[in-house]
Amino acid sequence: MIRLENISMTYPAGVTALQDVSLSIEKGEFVFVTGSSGSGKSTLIKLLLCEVKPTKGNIYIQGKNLGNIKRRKLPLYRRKLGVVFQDFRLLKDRNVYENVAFAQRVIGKSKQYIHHQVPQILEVMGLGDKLKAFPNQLSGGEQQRVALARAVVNHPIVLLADEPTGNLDPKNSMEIMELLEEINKTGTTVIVVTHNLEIVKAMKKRVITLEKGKIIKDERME
Amino acid sequence: MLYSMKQAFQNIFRNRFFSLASIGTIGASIFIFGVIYMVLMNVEGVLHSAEKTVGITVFFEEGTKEEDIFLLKEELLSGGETEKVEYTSAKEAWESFQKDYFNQDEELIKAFGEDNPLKESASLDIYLKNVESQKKLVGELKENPIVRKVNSSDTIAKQMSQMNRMAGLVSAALLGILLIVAVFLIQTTIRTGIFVRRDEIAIMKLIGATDGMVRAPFVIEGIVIGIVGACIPLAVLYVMYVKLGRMIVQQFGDALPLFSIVDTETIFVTLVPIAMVLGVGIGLFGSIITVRRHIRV
Repeated sequence: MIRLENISMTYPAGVTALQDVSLSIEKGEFVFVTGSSGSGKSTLIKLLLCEVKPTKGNIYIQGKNLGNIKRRKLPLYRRKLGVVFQDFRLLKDRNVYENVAFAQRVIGKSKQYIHHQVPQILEVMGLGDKLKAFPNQLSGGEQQRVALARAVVNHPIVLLADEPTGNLDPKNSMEIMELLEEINKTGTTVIVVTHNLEIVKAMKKRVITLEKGKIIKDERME
Repeated sequence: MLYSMKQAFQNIFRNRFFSLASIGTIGASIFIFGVIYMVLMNVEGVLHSAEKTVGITVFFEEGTKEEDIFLLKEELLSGGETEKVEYTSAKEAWESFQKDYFNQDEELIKAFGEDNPLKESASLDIYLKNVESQKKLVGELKENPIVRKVNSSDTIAKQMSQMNRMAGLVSAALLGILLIVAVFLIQTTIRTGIFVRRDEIAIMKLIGATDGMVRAPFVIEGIVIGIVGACIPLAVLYVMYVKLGRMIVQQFGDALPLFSIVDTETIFVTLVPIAMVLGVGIGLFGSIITVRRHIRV
């Protein structure tokens, strides 16, 4: 499903983030990518989102080479992905419902469809009673659940999570992980970038470890 | 579309300071354009009426037959450059002279008896459609063998068309500078809007919004600023023209018989669409170049 072939990435400033990385992730897999700061974890997410282009190598998703996607087709590709970040990236001037609805409005879904879908997904995320709350009225865990709802409301084939528990306490972190696992069970491929080894150990999934831009370990935790 | 429009109005409201500055500059540009346009239209009107009074008078060689003069008159009329050609016979010229200068003095008139001292004064008064064609026509008439003398008011014609051209050039330069300032300010407004909404734009890009979707609110913002920037000066100009026009006619109407104010409808039938196109054009141009530079999916 996702295949990276000899990917190298050097930023214009001369910083090398990834060096000759090759890996493949199957459809429906749940994968952790770990490593210390500067190991290239976030660059991997940026490459998959087509925010940056590799300086060498090819990335294939569902057999399609990302390097061949035309700029105007990029939005259509990104609609297949869901993404959550450590800092949630919610729109502070909009309530929970509007933040999630925003993702559907942007891709041109009808008002009725949005009105039907958004409360449903928020219910699944345990936020059924917080539709009208604004982000600053929510806890960190709740905000991340809103971000998660926004990421999955359009049924992505891949969910990318960049340090999703970075700002959360252990209890909330585990709740988010459980939600990610639920999403994964529906068939969505989940890639979680984290340096929280406690969680990685607890989840017992495939773990890819990066160091200085290279894969040093790729193992399944038991 | 509805979403983009809502966002556009929110942007305008959020960046009130820059939005007002942009509206102000577009408004000022269009206001100045409007004033210049009105003045030019009125100068044009004066010129036009002046052209009808400023003419060429042609006198003929001794012994020129009346039918040759009529032939020339026909030629001139069919040439397309003349508005009107009037023939004054020697007899009419003498009668008119008597009327103007003898002040009905019967004695003086009798003294001349049947003599006509102006017997070689048959003339054609030519009124042109366009002052600028005067020089050429005078040249042609002078070449004609039956023509003895051509009187024309070259200087007035020249001065009038020069004045018109000069006014046009000055106003074009002024308008050009203002338009550049307006486009620059629109760009600043849109850029500020993009900065304020950078998080939203980033999220939109990540969830698969197309360039068009991300850019639409800013382009609409530019258009709205352009429309508002055009409507305000139009309203001010309308009130000003009606009031000022009335005042000028009352004050100077008798002193300047050539001067007449072009009616409001004639001015605004053209000014409104031009101002709208200008306003929307500046808004659209300013916003499009800004979003193209700053928003790429």
